[in-house]
Amino acid sequence: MLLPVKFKVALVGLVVAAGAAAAVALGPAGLAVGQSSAPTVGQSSQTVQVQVVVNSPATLVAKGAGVDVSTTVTCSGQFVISGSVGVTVTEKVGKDVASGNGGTTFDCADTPETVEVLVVAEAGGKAFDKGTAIAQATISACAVNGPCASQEVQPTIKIRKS
Amino acid sequence: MLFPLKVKVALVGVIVAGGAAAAVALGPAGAAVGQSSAPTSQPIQVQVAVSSPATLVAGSGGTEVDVSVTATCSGPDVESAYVGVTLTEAVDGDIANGFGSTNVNCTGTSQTAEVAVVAYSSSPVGTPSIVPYQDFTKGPAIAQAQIDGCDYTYGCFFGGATQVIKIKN
Repeated sequence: MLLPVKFKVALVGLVVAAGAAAAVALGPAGLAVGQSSAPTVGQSSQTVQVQVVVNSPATLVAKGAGVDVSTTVTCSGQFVISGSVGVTVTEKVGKDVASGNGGTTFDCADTPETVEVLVVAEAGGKAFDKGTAIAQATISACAVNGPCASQEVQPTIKIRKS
Repeated sequence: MLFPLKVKVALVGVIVAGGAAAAVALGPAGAAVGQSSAPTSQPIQVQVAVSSPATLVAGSGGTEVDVSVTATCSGPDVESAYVGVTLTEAVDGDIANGFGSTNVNCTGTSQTAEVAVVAYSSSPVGTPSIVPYQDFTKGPAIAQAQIDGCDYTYGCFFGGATQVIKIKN
């Protein structure tokens, strides 16, 4: 059976919130810049660099149905148009754990820019509250017909009421 | 069997699992707030926005909310588009969550449609009844809308919007 399915996904790709480097500290946190692999000899240099910093505090949305998380993203490289950032927030609320995720895309501008990510609480779970939480952020970007780069950070942030 | 499925995702991108842009504002949703955007070069144009407030359906006991959406879609061979809405609300520390969907005609002009969002539920072991995880109530909630428009020539294009809306009785 012939099944020539063409599945063309744009440069941005999909955000998968999983795994993270362990940079645990209150307030803004970032790690080493994520970088694509080195170009092969004879090819033009197409290096993609991305970096994400999760800013603290985050802000409760809709009485805890979500959390508005501010990130500072940097994305640079030849032929890189846009990137994506995904954030998962996990917070201990009483004896329970509230968790949720969100993400968005952004234009790569070579300079750091602030990107707001609305993290929505999981279905059937607990609402977020003011306090301390772990924010797991993943940033990724790809060059046109070229390499990709990604970076994960996992800082501890504060959540405050709006 | 030939199955020439082409799925082209717009540059805007699609965020899976509750991802969203954070254009958050209470009250009636402004034209620019949380709306999806698509490059004008795309052969299929889709756009959706959620209106506030939404309304608890009388007699549903909080298990159903009517959400009004404004959708626009157009394309050479696109007749209709699918619109899905997920609603998330914090109720006394718990999360009420539900989903509803509808189809809209693709005429190139803005259309308003009502989407009945039903709270997710479960059937506890040993009981014949279906119990919602958590009923909706009046208050602020996060509405996530997605619109999908497809045709046989260009495939499918997606758009989405996330907004904070109010739920009223």
